[in-house]
Amino acid sequence: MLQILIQGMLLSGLYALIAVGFTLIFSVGRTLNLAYGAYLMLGGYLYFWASQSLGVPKSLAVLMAMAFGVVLGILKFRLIVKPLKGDHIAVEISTLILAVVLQAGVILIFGDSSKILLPIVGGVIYVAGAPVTYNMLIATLASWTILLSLYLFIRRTDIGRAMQAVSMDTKGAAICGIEPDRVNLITWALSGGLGALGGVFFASYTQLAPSMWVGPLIISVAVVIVGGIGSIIGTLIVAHIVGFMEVIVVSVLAPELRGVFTMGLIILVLVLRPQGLFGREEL
Amino acid sequence: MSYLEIKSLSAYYGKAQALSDISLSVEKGEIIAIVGANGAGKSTLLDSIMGLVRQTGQIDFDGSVISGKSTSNIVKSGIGYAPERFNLFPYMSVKDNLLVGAFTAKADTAANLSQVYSLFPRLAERETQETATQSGGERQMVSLGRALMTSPNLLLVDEPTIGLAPKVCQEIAVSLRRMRDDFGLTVVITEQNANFAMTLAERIYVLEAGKMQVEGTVEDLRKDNRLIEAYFGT
Amino acid sequence: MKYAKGLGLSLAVSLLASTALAEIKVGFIGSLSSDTGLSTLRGAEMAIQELNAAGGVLGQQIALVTADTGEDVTEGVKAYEYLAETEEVDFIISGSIDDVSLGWLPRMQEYQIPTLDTWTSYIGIIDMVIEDPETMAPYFMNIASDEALATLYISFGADVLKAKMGWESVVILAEDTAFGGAITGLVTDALGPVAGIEVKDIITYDINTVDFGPIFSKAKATGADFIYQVSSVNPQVISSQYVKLQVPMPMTGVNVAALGMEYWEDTGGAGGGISTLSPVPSVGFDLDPVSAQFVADYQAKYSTRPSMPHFNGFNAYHGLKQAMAAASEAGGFQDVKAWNAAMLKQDLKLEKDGKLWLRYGFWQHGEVEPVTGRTYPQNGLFDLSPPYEDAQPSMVVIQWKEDGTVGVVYPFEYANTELELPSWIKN
Repeated sequence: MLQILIQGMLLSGLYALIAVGFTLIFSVGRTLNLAYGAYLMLGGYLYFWASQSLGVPKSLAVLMAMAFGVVLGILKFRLIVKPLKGDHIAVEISTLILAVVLQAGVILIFGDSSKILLPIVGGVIYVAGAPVTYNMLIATLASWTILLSLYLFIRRTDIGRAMQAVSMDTKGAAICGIEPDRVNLITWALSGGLGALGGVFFASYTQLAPSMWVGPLIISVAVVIVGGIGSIIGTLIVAHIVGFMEVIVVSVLAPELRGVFTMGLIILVLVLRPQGLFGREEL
Repeated sequence: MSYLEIKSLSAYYGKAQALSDISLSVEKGEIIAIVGANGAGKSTLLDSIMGLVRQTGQIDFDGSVISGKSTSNIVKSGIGYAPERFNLFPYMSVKDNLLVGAFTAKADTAANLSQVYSLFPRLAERETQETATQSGGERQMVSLGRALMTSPNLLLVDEPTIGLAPKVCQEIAVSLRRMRDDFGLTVVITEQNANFAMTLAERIYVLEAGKMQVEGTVEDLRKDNRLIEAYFGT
Repeated sequence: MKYAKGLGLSLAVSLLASTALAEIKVGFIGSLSSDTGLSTLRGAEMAIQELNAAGGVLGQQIALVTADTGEDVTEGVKAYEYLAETEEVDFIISGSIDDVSLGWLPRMQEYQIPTLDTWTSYIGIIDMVIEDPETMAPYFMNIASDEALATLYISFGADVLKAKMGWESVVILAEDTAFGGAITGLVTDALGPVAGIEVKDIITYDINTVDFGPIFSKAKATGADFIYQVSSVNPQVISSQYVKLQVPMPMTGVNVAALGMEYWEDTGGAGGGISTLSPVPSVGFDLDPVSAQFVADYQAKYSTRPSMPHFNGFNAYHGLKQAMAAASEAGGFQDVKAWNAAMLKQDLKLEKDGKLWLRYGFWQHGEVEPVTGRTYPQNGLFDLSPPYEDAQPSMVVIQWKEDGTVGVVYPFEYANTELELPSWIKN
């Protein structure tokens, strides 16, 4: 029981970290950024290249990955999202195409065999029979810290309030002197950085592979659909629902049904409560 | 040159022309009303001043050209806007809504906030309430308050009384007059309710189907029964 | 008149061109971006280079064209059609993975182009050769088929896991794929009766599993002596988490990722302690002089990964030469029956220290393998019982040590190291 609790907390923390950048774009820009998984992938690969090939210190490599994610987010907003102005379908299709193109690019540079990231912090302890690696523990703590800081940033700063304002009413924000494009740009940059960071942790959990962008994308979409919102607190809650459900399914029921239950939850929520469990548009 | 001067303004939504060849001028310290039926183009006119609509023609404010500038720069030049449907941020508190209004006028935040609370004491009492749960009158107050937070010299208010109870309309009228008298603002409102417009404004413009039809002081209009019947139906 | 003249000229030019370009055309089918695909491609390139330098085959030079499958079944079928119809190749060398080979196999039966598979080991294809030798005449597979791999692997269970390590029960962690199901079936059927190892539980997991923590906990709760992993999709995840979580239970099995020299770099060292079944020759496998020379030439020629060809690179290098030798004898590739007969006769024996070390030849039709009691026509030769005097074993078990070295632990005749427990279990 305690084991499930610990393992559930760890996995959920990771999922929350993965989903938060995606949620941000969904709530501010009203766009499902289907290339979000590619930020994670590229963040992970950049970290791998910097820390394991070049020998850059790990903390610096994490920062490099985040900076790279920020640049990607900005480029994507400038080159794709803004020119396509509010045409959500076109943006979503083009982001999906972008993800596939980036995958091909990664294969070209790194080849298609998967790679393992060294843990950012090595070592393992056993708590109540559950193995807890320091890496997972750090990922969970980082996830909580980042989500809390993000929450405070959004609630307490002018830029954060501007992001909320744009997410709720673009015209209302504009007549307060806020430039929605600038706020969107900041949001995309932030989302890119968070995605890359999530990618470093996700990859250090699993592996680096050119196809690795799909899994986190599904988790993120699940969190947004089940939560129905772009709320940070909602993201945290739903990430825990998905994470715990997965650990319970794997531990108590059958491990091969892991993904099925997540999908089942998505479909169930779509049918019974299309607006999502929390169903309102806030940040 | 007038404080706000609009010359040959035409505005478009896509290919549809919503305003054609509008000219209008407002002197500093005036309250004027733009009156017209639903769909006459009143909101479009205010949106055009704010740079929110595709347009031709020229708009000058306080001695400089503002047409063609970004909405953000127009706000910074000193124009505040309380739009018809308020465009509030529904899941943010009253205070946060007001603070977003202060985005371009951060230095004046404290002063502006106490001004807003003195005008609308009810907002101070309910500053933590989300605007989604407020009444129409309260939301109108938040909307006006948010516009004041931008430190404006000219205030544009779109249909301040629509859907409000008569008693609330009076409160709003009082506060708009105070904004001019106590805070020195120039005020432009749009109205369907001609009586309200005539009790508040000094001059009135009548807009019909995107064209400016009549312009005059309230006294002039009161003398001309024909006009009053034709446009105000009273 | 002018038109006719022009036509005549172009006809003459094309005739001239085809005479000048008279050559044997070899098509490569496989992934151009994976270590697997590149191993076969480069093995073939090196064989062709050597053959051309020595004057070619049947007085003609050999040319190589490639078709990328991207390890995708549909792309694989298209690639085969491209080689057959657009390039009109004489012979195809394949580095395809099992699923892709199964995809293009019907096309091969249709076009009847001599084809050699160097990676695919699916026993079902050999069964097709047995059932329909005529249509399957162009097909050869020079890796031991998977039934032979599994059979010897069970012996490893009895000789090492049970006899040396003293393990008596196992929990199987198998991915939820056709491959996982097949291997699990073969292993569970034989482990108990043949090796005397009790299967406590079979845990099937989703291939996209992010966190194996709960699964390892579940495996531990069965009380089994060791874990047997069956993993071909995302094998790095389970094995690296095994190391990162320092799971207090030994683990061995099938891990396709550990077959290349890049495994250590790819895992950043988080793969120490992992052992896996591997076809031969594998990483860590001692090489005879001929194979060693091949690897040296390979490394002089190619600077990108894989830094050492996988087993299928060796298969491609020797297999392509044998296919050309068979063509010389059969007067080309057109008479498939004649080529098939000549190919079946190919037999290359490589010795190390006076002992037969590797053998590239094929099982004949009707020739029964004594351990499994069945035939493997047109499949590469292997030997399933010590002292491996007829051919090399169908597979070896290799282990990556925690210091980054890799060696063979089974069969003993080929071993250069011993199976060790990971340090966190030993301590």
